[in-house]
Amino acid sequence: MAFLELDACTLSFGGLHAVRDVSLAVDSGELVGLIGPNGAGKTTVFNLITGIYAPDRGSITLGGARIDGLPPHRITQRGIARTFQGIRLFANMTAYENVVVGHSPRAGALLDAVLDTPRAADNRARIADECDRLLQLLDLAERRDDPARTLSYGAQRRLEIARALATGPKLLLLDEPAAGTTPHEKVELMARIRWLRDHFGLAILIIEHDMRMIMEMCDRITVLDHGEVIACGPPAAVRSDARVIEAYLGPEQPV
Amino acid sequence: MDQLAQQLVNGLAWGSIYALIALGYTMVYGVLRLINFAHGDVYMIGAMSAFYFAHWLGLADAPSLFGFVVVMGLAMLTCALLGALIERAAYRPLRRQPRWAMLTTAIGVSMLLEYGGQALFGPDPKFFPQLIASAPALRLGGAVVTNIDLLIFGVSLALMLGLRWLVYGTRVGMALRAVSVNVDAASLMGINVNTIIAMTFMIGSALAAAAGAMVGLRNPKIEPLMGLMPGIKAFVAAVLGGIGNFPGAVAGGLLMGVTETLVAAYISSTYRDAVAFVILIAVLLVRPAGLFGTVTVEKV
Amino acid sequence: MIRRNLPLLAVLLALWPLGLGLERVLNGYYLQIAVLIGINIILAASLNLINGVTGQFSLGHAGFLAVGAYVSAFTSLALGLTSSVLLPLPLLVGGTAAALAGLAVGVPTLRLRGDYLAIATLGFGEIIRVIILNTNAVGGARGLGGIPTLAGFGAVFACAVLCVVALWRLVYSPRGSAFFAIREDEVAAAAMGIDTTRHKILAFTIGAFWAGVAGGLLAHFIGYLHTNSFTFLRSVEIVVMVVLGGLGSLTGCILAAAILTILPEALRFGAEYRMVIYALLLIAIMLTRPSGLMGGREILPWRSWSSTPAR
Repeated sequence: MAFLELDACTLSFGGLHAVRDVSLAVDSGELVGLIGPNGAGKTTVFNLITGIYAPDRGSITLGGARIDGLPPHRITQRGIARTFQGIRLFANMTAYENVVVGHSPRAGALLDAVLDTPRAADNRARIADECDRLLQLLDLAERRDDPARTLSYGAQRRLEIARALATGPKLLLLDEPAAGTTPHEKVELMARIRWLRDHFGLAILIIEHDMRMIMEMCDRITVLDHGEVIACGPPAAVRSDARVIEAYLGPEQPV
Repeated sequence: MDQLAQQLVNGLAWGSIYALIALGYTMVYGVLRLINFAHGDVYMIGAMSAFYFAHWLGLADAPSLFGFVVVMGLAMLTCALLGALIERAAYRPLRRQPRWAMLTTAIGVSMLLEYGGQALFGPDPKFFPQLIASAPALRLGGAVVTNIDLLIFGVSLALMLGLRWLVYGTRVGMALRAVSVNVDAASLMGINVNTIIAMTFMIGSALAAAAGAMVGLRNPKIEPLMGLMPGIKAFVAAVLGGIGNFPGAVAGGLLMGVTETLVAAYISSTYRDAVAFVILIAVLLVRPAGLFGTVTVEKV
Repeated sequence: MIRRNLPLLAVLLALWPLGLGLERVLNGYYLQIAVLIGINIILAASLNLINGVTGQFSLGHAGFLAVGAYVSAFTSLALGLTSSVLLPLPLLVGGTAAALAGLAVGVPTLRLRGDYLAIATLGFGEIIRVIILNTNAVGGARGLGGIPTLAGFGAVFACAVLCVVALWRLVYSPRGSAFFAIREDEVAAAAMGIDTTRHKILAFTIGAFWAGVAGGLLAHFIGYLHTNSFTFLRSVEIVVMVVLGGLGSLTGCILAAAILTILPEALRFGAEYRMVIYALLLIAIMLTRPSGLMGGREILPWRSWSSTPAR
C-alpha cells in the first residue's frame, strides 16, 4: 500500500461532479505530478486530501489509516502540509512569524507560555532556530522581518513552502508553486523542491502547468480531465498517451 | 382573544416602524458592509425635525393629515441631506481603510448626534404636536385600529413599494444592486459609486425620518436618546431577516415588533428588550445568515 | 520559573505600598480616575485578545463585565468578607463565572461570521443584563449595594499588570501565534494544523475571564452595582478603545484606555458640549489615523517570538 492513497473518490457540488472516481497514490519519498487542463479538478483533489472537503464516495488513507472526513487541522497534524494556488499567507505578519505559526500546534502548553517556564523558553529557542533555518533554506533570511504582503510574488510562494515545512510534514502538496514567477526563478525553484524532497525525505504531490518542467522532475504523473483520471504513469508514457494529447490539444482535426 | 388581536395590531404598528429603520441598515450594509450605528439617531433627528417644522410652520395648532404629510416630507428631506453629509464627511474618507475604522467613526457620529441633540434640543422629552387626533378607525375581530395605525401601515407600505420600484424598476436601482454585489466591478462598468452610495444614505435616512415622524404621532414623547434602542432593535431585525436582503428586513422588523409587544403584554415588560435578542440568537443558530440570507462559502 | 518571574513579582509587591501611599496623597477624584483607567486597561486588553488578535468581533464585553461584577460581589457578601487580603477570592470566582459565561456564549456563536457574530454577542450581553435585572437575589432593578470596598489602586493595578503580562506572553509566544494566524486567514491557519474553533473559544473564554476580574474590581471599588452600567454602550466603549489603540496592539489599547478615560474628564470645561467634543475628537482621530494609534504595532519594538528570544 502506498503512503497516500485516494481510492475512487467522488465529490459533487449540486449534482455537478467536481471529481469522479479519482484514484491516486503517492509513495514515501516520491515526487508525483498532478496535471490537467484548467478546471480539471486538480485543486479540488488537494482540498479533498487536506480535509477542506470530504469525498461523497471513496476513501483516502495516509500510511494505511483513513483520513477522509477529518477536519483540516487534524490532517495537517498527521503529516500533510500544503501551499495554496492563490497564496494565502498571513499577510500582516512577518516572514518569520508566518513560519512560527507552522510550529504553533507543537509549541508546548499555553500555560507554560503564560508562566514563562524554562520549558517555554526552551521551546522558544528551539523554534526560533528551526524557523530561521527554514527561512535560510528557502532564501528568505534577508526578508525575515518584513511583512509577508511586502514580499515579491516569487518570495511569497517560497514563504508558503517554508511555512508548510514548519508543520513537520511527511507529504507536501504544492499547488502551482511556480505560477507567476520568472523563468529563472522557476528553474531554481524546481531544483530546490527536489533538494527539499531528498533533504527532508518528503513525499511531494505537485500541481504545475509547465509541462517541460513537470516531465523533467516527477517520478510519476497523474493526469486529470473533467474531474476524472485519464492517465497515470511515468512521464514518458504519459507524454505519448493519446487521451492526454487530446485533452490538451483537443480532438484531432481532419487535415 | 380581543386583547390578543389588539396586541397584534400594536405589534404590527411598531413592527412597521422597525421595518422602515431596518431597511436603511440593510441598504447601507449592502453597499458599504457597514453597521451604520448612527442610523437610529437619524431616526431621532427625523422625529425632532418634524417637531420643529410643525411648530415653525404653525401646523402644530391646526391638525390635519395634509399638515402631517408636509411635516413628514420636510423631515425626510432634512434627514436625507443629513445622511448624505454623514456619508461624505465621516465614511467616504475611510472606504479603503480597515472596516473597523468606519465602524468606530459610525459610533462617533452616533454619539455626536445624541449628545449634540441633548445640547441643541435639551435633554428633556418634548411633546410631539397632535397633528392628527387619534381616533378609532375600524374594528378588526375585537381589536381597535386607530387612524394613526392606519396611517403608519399605509405610509410604510407606500414607502416600501416605492423603494421596491426604485431598486428593481429603475436604472438607479440597477446601479445600486450592482454596487452591493461588487463595488469595483460596478465602478469599472461606469457606475458612479460615490453617487450611488450617497443616494443609498439619503434614501435610508429619509425612510428613518418617516418612521420618526410617525412615531411622534403614536408615542408623542420624543427625546435625543430615543433612537438608541429602536436603532439596535432595527439592526437586529435586519440581521434576523438576513442583512442586505430587503424583504428580509421588513419581515424581521414586523416579527420583532409583534413578539416584543406580545412579550411585554403577556410575560413581563422587563423582558421585552431581551426577547428580541433571544429570537435573534435562536434564528442565527439554525440559519447563520438570517431567515432569508444565503450562507456564502469561501473558495479555497 | 520563580526566578524568571521575579521582576514581575517585585512590581506586583511594590504596587501595594504605592497604592497605599497614593490613596493618602491623591484626592478622591483623581484616585477614582486612576482606578478607572486600570479597570479599563484590563477590559481593553482582554477584548483586544478576542477582537484585535483573534479577529472575532465581540460586542458583548459588558455582559462578561457584569457577570464578574455581580458574582464576585455576591461572593463577598455571602461570605461576609471584610479583609482586602481575601480580595483575590471573589475576583477569581467572578472571573471564573465570566469565563464560563464566555464559554457558554462562545461555543454556539463562534460559527457565525463577522457582523453576525458581533450582533449575536451584543444580544448575549443584553440578555445577561436583563437576567440580572430580574434576579432579586442580586438586587434586581434596585441595584446591589453594601459591597465591601476592598479594592483600591494597588489591587486594580496589580491585576492590570498581571493581565497585560499574561496576555502579552500568551499572544507573543510561538504557541499563541495561532491567534494572530486565525485573524489573518482562517483556512490557512487550519492548514497549519491549528484547531481554529478551539482557539476562538479559548480567546473568548480568556477574554471573558479578565473582563470578569475587571468587574470584580469595579464592584469592590465602587461598592454599589446597577445594571445601567453594563448596557451595550459600555461594550461599545471598550470596542472603541481597542480600535483606537490599533487592533491587535496591547500597548496601543493601554494607551487608548488611558486617553479615553481621561478625555471626558479633561473636557469638563466644555460643560454640556463635553461629550460633543469627545465625539468629534473620536471621529477626527479615526479619520486621521484609520489603523488606530499604534496601527497594530507595539510601542516596544520586540515581540518575544518575532525576534531573537531573550534567554
